[in-house]
Amino acid sequence: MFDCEGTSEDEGALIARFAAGDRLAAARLTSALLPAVQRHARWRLGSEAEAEEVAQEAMLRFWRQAPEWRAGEAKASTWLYRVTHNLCIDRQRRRRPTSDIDDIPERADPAPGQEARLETRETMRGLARAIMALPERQRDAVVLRHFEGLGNPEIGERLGCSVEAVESLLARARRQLAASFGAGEGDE
Amino acid sequence: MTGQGRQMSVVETDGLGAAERDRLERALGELAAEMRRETPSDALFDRVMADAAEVQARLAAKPGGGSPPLPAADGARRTGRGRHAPRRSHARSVTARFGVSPGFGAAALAASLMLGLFVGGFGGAAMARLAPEEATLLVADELGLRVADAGEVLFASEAPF
Repeated sequence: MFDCEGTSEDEGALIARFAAGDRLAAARLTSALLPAVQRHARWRLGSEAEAEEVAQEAMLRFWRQAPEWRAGEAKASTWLYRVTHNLCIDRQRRRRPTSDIDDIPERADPAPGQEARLETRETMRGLARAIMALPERQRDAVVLRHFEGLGNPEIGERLGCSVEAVESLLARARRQLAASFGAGEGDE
Repeated sequence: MTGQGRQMSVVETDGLGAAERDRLERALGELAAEMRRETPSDALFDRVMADAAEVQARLAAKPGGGSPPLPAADGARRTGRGRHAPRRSHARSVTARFGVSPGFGAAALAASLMLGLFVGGFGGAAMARLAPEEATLLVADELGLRVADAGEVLFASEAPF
């Protein structure tokens, strides 16, 4: 999650500890925040390598911001989302988006039913491609809702729009995804 | 109506049937679960931690800056699964640093403190990938503990696995 959930400590306290030189706090914050930062960048950029670079840069900015952090005013996740988002936009301005999102996580899993797994994997790839093809705002809404598990009010906060607008974005996205997804299924 | 001239917004509907929506939601859920299982690469984690250390060092160097960084344990470097060489000197240096005497109680105290640095440096995400047995063996090697003691230390430290 794009959050400090899973850490036993209050986020503000962890950030203060980081600023005071605590390496463990740095590790906990990294573990809690980095995965979602990277995921977000990957969805925005469609490139694993670029997503890593952006994630590192976003985290570096977060570290630099830590001494000035005012606990309770903003969630680290929200702040990082914005920074990551902006970094991605900078990247996108410099080049056309690519789409190697085909690298849907491949896990070495000796589970039986290899064929079924491959089929599922293909379906997942198709869905990921369909998400990548959504207009940006719709894609952001889908990713925040389904991949980061945020509620509509929080998505609205991140995207700077009303809850109703989020619902509309999600509805349009679902309609388009269902069409693409359904078409992909029918092809098989 | 509030009488404040607020316009009623119209929320679009997706127009999907229940079965279609259900299928889509399920697929999205599966994809999300798959992607959440992914964790940042060790290399990225290390780069981010190195940046953090650099920022902390700069902060500590500033007049009136933060307190000096807690030393990162050598053993806190992540070298990848199954590639950890035992570094028994850590347990000894921790014991010396915290002025505790030998014996399991003291060693456990020292190891718990050390474990905080170790797990932190190793990365909760990476540690979480390990099965408890693997983690116990790793910690035992890393801290120079017996496996049974490492298990107790892990339990006491509420490590994230």
